[in-house]
Amino acid sequence: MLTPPRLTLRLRLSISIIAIVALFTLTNITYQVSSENRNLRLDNLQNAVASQLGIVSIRQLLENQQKQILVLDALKTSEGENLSQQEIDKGLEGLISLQAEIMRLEPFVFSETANSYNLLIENYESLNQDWRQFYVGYNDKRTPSIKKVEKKFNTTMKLLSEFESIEIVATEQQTLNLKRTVRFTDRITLAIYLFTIALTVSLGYLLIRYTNRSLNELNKGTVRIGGGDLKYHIPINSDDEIGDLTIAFNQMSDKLSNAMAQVQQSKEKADQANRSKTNFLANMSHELRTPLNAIIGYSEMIIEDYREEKTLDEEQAVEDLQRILSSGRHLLQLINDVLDLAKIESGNMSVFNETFDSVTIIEELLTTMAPIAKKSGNLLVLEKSNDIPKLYNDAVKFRQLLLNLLSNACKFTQNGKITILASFNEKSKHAVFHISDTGIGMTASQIDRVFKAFVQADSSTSKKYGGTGLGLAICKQFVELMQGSMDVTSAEGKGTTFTVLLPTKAAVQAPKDAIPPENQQELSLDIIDQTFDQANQGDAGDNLEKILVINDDPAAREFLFNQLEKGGYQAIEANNTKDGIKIAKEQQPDLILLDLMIPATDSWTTLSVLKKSGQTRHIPVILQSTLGEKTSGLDLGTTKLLPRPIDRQRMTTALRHLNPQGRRGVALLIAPESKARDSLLEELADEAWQCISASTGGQSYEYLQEKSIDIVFIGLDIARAAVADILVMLSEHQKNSGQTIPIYVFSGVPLSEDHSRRLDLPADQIII
Amino acid sequence: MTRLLLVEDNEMNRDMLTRRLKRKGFKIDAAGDGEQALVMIKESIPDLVLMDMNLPIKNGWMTCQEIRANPNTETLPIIALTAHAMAEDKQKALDAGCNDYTTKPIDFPLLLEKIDALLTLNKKKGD
Repeated sequence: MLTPPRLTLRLRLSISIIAIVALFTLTNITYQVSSENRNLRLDNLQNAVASQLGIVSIRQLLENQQKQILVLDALKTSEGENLSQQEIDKGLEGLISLQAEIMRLEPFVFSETANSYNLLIENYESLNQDWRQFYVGYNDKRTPSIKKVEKKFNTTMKLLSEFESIEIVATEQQTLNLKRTVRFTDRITLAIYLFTIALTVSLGYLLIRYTNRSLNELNKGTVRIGGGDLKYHIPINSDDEIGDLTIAFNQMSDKLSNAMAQVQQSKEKADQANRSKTNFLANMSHELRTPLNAIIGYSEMIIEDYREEKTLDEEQAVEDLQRILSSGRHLLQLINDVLDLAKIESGNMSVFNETFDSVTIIEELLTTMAPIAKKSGNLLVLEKSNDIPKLYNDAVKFRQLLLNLLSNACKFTQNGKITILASFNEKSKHAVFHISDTGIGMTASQIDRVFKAFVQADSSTSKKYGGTGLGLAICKQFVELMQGSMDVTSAEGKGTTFTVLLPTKAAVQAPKDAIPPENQQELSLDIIDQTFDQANQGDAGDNLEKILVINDDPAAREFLFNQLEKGGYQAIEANNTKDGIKIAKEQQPDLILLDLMIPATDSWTTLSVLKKSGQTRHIPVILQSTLGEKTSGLDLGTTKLLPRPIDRQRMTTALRHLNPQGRRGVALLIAPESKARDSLLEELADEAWQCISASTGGQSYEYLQEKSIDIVFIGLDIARAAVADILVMLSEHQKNSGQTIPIYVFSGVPLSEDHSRRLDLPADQIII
Repeated sequence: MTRLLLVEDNEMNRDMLTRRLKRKGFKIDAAGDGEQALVMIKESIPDLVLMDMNLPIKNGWMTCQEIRANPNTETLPIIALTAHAMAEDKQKALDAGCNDYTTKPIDFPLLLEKIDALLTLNKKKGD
């Protein structure tokens, strides 16, 4: 189907111009036609006048001729006088000219006068003939008198008069016609002129008015939009160029409006973030001050007691120190949680996905939590459906998440029941975990705030129940990192249920600033190389070093395997800790790479099994972790990491932390003589520590028995069998004496700047 | 002997302050929440109140307002003890009717000075 063409401004203007030109042409044509018509009529009128004059002259000639002939005839009869030939010829000539005169009328003969004219001619010719004979036979006496011609002459004259009168009537008619024509053409011309003017004026007016209206609307809209009213839409009145312009303008203002909205939104977000940050800082300050108050207060009190009374109620002092310690721990927990949150928020918390059985982890957790639940008289129950598939997600985060939720449930429930309900939603392919308690519950407004940082349901809750108020915020962030969702329902006084939904398979996403696997691997190879370099100093070991990799992630295992082979090591693998221990005993590897990603407790248990068994205790173990698991190591309380050749700054801080009152402590250094050991000795002496050096296990054992040791440093450069022995010996000593001695392991190898930098990354490693 | 009422819900902080102040020769009564503090004040008006602001049951600000609303305790000196250390927190405590304000961790000598100053001022007024 044909659509009518768009009435654009251009088309409109073209049509107007064409119309005006056409009318102008028409006017011209009418003028031409009427002018021609007028000329024609005018000609006719002139002819009529000419014929009138002709008739008058013919009459005159006829009468003259008649008179002349009558005179001649009378002369002939009375005088008998003859005419000379010359006179006769003159008479004949007169006749001829008369005839010519009559013939000259012919062009003026109209249809109306034709009959009359013909009759006239007929009569005149007869008369003419008679007159000729009169002239020709004048000198002949026999020629009769002309008298009888009189009648013919009279008839001719009568016919001439008739012709004349008809001619006059016809001419009058002609004149009338001419007048009519002139009047008619004048009218038409005038009408067309007027119409052209009217059309031109109205077209011009319409064009101006119409264009002006659209332009005015456009102008008004532009001013409004320019003034900031970006929501304003200019009405579209026309389907033409201005309409197009208006549409484009509206689109532009829409885009501008969207952009402005986005900017506004971003600004609000930034403001909100800023407010949150300020709030967070205020809260943080509050949270840090509370435990600090106890720490400072009790410390001052102990100092006062000691200084003023010179005696110390030992029991009271220990109690107070315990309080300082517990406040300090709370402070540490707080800082760790804040760091965790900051790490998540800055996108630096990496996710390590692997395939794991969620129910197994939950069962392990239940074992861990059992004593805590029992303490508050709670019953721990797991209900599970059998169709839960293995999950591909971050197992460590999953464990921490559920541990947090369970600890929370235990914390807020007394003599109640805590239920974990694990199931699988076939439709959404989500594993669903409900953690319900029958504890104190929350009000609606408390529920709203529960996932926010530093907000426990009630600000006084933390004082009663402990905790930093950050646990649930971290949980929520964890779940989001794990691409799941988390929700809570609660009834005050009845209990709370947290629901966690996790996808069975987390989509792969590259965390910001994650270390590419290659780098992680290089790192472990470096560490392995160094470990061997130190341990094998005395050995002439040309043998291929055998390394056992205990890791449950097939991909990671394969990767490590390849890298180790490339690095010139012989790699053997175990995909679980049980097999790992078995293989370690049977094959006696030179080194074990134990992954912390296997449910972490499992790894720590494995480590202790390996270290306790006589068959494996001599084998160095490198704990591998892609996460910042340093904290786990610290939490164990005995072994700490010093990954670099003594960083003085760090060392000093650590030492001062251990000995804040500047008391003289006793440090035991187990390491062969080396630069690293000497610099450590110097450092310790500077910090007023009393140092004892031992280079063998036996020696150090003796010292431990004899003296009260506050801290132990072990160099990695000591024979590797000895390190293991010393570690076992130390743990036994601690068990027997009930004393907790911090143990630092130092590598004693100068690491390149690059290595040091890498060691600071989250993929740091714990060397034991 | 000067009698102080310490209102503090944190067991550790309550214990610590009670002991330290006792050593300085004050007689200390301790309350764990605002409601309890009001009951104790009703029974016998102390010479001065040390008030934590984040309290369970009835918070410090409300407790202060109620103390001020009672004609008997209109001029009872109150020192706010709080871990909220922002400027507006101080104003909030003063608006609630506290005479003075000190932040945690508590600077003990400063606290003693403040107690002394308020007690002296009150005594002068009483005279």
